[in-house]
Amino acid sequence: MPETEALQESTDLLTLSPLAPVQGIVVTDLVKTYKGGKKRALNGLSLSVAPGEAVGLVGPNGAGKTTFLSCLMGFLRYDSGNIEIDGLPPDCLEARRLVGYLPERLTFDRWMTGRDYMHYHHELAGMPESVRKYECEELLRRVELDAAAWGQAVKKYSRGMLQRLGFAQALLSKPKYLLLDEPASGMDPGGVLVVRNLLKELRKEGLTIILNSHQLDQIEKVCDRVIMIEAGAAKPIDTASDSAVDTTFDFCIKWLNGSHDGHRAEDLGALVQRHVIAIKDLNDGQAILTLHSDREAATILKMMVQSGFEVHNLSLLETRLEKLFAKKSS
Amino acid sequence: MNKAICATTWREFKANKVRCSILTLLVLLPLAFYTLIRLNWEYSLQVDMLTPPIIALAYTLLWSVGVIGREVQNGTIGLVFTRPITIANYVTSKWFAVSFAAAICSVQAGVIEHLISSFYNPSLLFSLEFFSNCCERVFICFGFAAVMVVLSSLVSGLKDIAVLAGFGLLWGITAIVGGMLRSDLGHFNQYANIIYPLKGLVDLFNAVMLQVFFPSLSIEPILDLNFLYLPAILNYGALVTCCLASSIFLLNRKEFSYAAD
Repeated sequence: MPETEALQESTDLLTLSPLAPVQGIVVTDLVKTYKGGKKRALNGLSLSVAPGEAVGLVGPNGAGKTTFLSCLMGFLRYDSGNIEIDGLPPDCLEARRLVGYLPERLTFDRWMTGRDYMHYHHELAGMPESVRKYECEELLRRVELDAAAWGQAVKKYSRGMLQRLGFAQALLSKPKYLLLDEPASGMDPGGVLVVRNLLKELRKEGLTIILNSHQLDQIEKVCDRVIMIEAGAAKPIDTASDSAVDTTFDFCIKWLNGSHDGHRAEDLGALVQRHVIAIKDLNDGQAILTLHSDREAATILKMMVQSGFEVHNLSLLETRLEKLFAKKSS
Repeated sequence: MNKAICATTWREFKANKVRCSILTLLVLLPLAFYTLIRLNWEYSLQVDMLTPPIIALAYTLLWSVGVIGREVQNGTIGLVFTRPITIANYVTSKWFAVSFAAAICSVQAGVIEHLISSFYNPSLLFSLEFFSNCCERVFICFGFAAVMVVLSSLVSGLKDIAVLAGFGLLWGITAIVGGMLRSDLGHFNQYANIIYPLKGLVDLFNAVMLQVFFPSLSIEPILDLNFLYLPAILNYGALVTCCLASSIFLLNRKEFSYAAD
């Protein structure tokens, strides 16, 4: 056997070796029942998340999403099954170094200031003291928490400010995995946008994200994959090819009525007739178009602009995930 | 020992105005009392007017009540354990933080009392009594803080005070029962075979309670290298170790979830 082939074979063996640590998060047949609980909070939940992937968790209230995240953090002892984070059990200190966590209802030591809180957790995370001030302030800036509030006691913070502070603490230890439970909960629209942009940036930086959110548009915009948790079990959702939902999109388009060319609703009907499945609520200045894809929306927008329509808004009314979730929940 | 946990425990105390006020009173009230005695009793100027070391129990109680239970109740403990901190490290850090702080406050109060006594009678400045008093205060602080840490791990919030009061009450009752059993049994002599083992049990319980509530060591036999005193030192060490180990065990059994049960 040539030397290179032998080397290749030994490399393959090493890759397939059961002793080699598995990268990513692997959850197998997880079962959890609360004390005195009659039904299982998690009922054989299995999933895996590859490094660099962003996975969205959706599901009705009480489906077991937060319980699952708590098991991943090692807070809850599961009855059976297995969790591995880069091959390590979740309660192992090394695994904790890899994970950043933002719970839905994060509680704070109310007497602390935002800056104190960040410094405390920076120190707990075992980060070097020399960079403490810089890194904490950098993160507070990144979540766009008003600098005037950094020195204020946390008890004076609004819900949105607390959530920003919580998000910042989740990033303190420069985690490889980020577990977020409703990160935009209680935030104003500006805050929701900050979270969305931040998540996109973190994705680009290669962080693995597990996002539990009821904001389905946020999940669809940020995540590669969506998993529905229902009755304690995971069911993958493929938004691109799931046949449970129709493949059309409803777009609302708005234009300035009575513009200098005098475009009216009837003109739009004639113009886009060949490209749309249906036109609803057609009136002067607004229409709802049912289309096959967002590519068609782009084509129609181009045509309208070229025909002199002064379009000022084009928005998707309901995402595929929203449709799918509504369908599956019903 | 985790520096961040210790520092945060101290700063949390500082932020609590009620506790700070009680601490100030604990220092000032004995001083006021001794000043009154000095004004009315001339002989008192010649002696070192020091509060007995048992006052350290009050300092320790003030510092350590709800030391872990409050974090469990507030839910802030969960996020601490998302960091690479072991439960053992957390418990020992909390214990050290409260016992060290209580010892410092208690000894500081003792030093103030001693300096005032020494002002009236300078020969008292280097008295062994003062040194012994301070050492016993330190032992009480570290021992009783360990007991409070285990009670605080057992229940959430400030309920550890209620548990402590419950034990105190039980101890009081058994002490009274013990006293009654030691006296002449009279016409209950026919039940002696039941009462004597019961008396043994009551005495054992009282001895354990005494060790638990007053985990002190006299410094003088230690300085005299009296080896008969060795069991007392071992008892003290065992009490602290058992309490901390129990606290770690209790916290290990708890689940700190943000999910609703």
